[in-house]
Amino acid sequence: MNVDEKTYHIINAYLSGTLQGRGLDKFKADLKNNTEIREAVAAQQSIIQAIETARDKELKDFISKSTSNKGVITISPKWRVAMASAAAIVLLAVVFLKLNPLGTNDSSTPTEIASINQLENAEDLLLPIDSVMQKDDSLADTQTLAIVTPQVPKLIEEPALEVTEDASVEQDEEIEEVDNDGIEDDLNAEIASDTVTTANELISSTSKDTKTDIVVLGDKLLTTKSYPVFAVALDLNPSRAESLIEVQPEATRLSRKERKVPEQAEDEAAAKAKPQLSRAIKVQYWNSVVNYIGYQYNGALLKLYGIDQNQVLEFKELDNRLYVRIGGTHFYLERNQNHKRLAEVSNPTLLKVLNE
Amino acid sequence: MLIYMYKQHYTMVKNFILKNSGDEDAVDDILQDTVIAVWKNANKTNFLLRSKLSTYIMAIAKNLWYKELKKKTKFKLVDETQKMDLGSEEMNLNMDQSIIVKMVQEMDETCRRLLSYFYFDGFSTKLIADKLNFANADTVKSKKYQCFKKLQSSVLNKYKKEDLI
Repeated sequence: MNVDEKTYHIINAYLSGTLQGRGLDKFKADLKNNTEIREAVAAQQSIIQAIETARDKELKDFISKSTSNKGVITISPKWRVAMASAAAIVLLAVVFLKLNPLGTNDSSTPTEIASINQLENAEDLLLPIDSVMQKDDSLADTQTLAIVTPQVPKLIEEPALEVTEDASVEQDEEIEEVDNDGIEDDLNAEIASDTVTTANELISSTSKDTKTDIVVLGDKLLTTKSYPVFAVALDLNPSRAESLIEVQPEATRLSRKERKVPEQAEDEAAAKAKPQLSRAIKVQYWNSVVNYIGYQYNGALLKLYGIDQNQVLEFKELDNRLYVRIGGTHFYLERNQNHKRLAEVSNPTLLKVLNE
Repeated sequence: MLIYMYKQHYTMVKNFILKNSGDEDAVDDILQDTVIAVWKNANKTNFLLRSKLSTYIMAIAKNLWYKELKKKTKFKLVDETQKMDLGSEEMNLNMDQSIIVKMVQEMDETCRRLLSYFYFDGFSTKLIADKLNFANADTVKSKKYQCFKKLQSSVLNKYKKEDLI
């Protein structure tokens, strides 16, 4: 059984099913009549089968080696759910512990605790309290709530003991170690628990448990004075009287035509204005920590912010509206519950009346 | 590729076989056969995947497993197309396939790979030329004949001529 290359390829084509047409018919006829070809086909088929088996075995070995038990991990759906639940619980626990660490009374980190312990053992080396704590009253603040974090002694210089930056100092109960992060946390907690002080109070809050020092500053009352209020009576017809009324921002709504009062009428109005002492007004001078300039007026009490208490004030009331003259400038005062900026009177007619 | 397909569909095939009177060993065998079948089919020039790969793999795995079950129940379907080659099959039975397989495995690397690529993987002669660094497809054809002839000679030396008849 010695087949040439051509016969080999024909047999190949026959076995693979690619031999078609006349070639196939001829080969089938030969296969029927020629024993040698039948032998050749049988031998070739056996060898091809062996090649395929060998390759199949090779691939299976390859797959088996690559996916030996450790490679393929199968988890049943039940176990998947259980594992996912366990993971979720652990995750929640971690998050919870992060948000609410155990022993919240002591916010010191392990490093800090270690440093503190170290310092406690070397009390005689600590510096006097005055050199450690420095409270600065001039620290910045807000209008309504002033929260000042006292300066933290970052580094205590000692000849024998070196203290790291994040270490705090503790000596008896006089020296309070303060950590910036701790202060922020405590502040947030205090704000949340409605322990916020009012704007006009100066509160110094010290938490002994947490050993932090919180100073809350507010606006400062400088002095209180009483001033007479002169009522300005006008004998004008309603249309003219309207022109004298300047309300900010209502004044902007008035039409230009309404604002324009003939000069003659203005003079008459000015002449007919008769200032009379009507009442007294209590004025408080406040120093705002944020250098706010404005006022708060409830009808009886006027709080002035950022106005020099030595300034001479003149109060005039016109048509149930209060005006104050500060340093030659007239301002309109509106009743309000909140703080308001001083609004300057710009209406020339009104200014003429007020200047009388 | 084979490993990826195997790992990716292991659970799916396993669940199916275990639910259909199979065991863990059967899972490995069926999945290996499935993956190899997919590999062989995918290398065919006219292969076109019309469904999801997982669906295709599952279909093959199911077919293979049902065949396996039929074998177990000693029920065999007679393939009409195989009747034609009945004579040659009878001849094949006279040869110890494992010995020929061993001969194939002992062939030199190039010949073994060339014949495997052609007969098993179904690679085209051009692709084989690229993979095995042959000049062109014709070179592959003649080299294939030489390798096959070599293997055939080894087989004939091992068996008497009468064994093949």
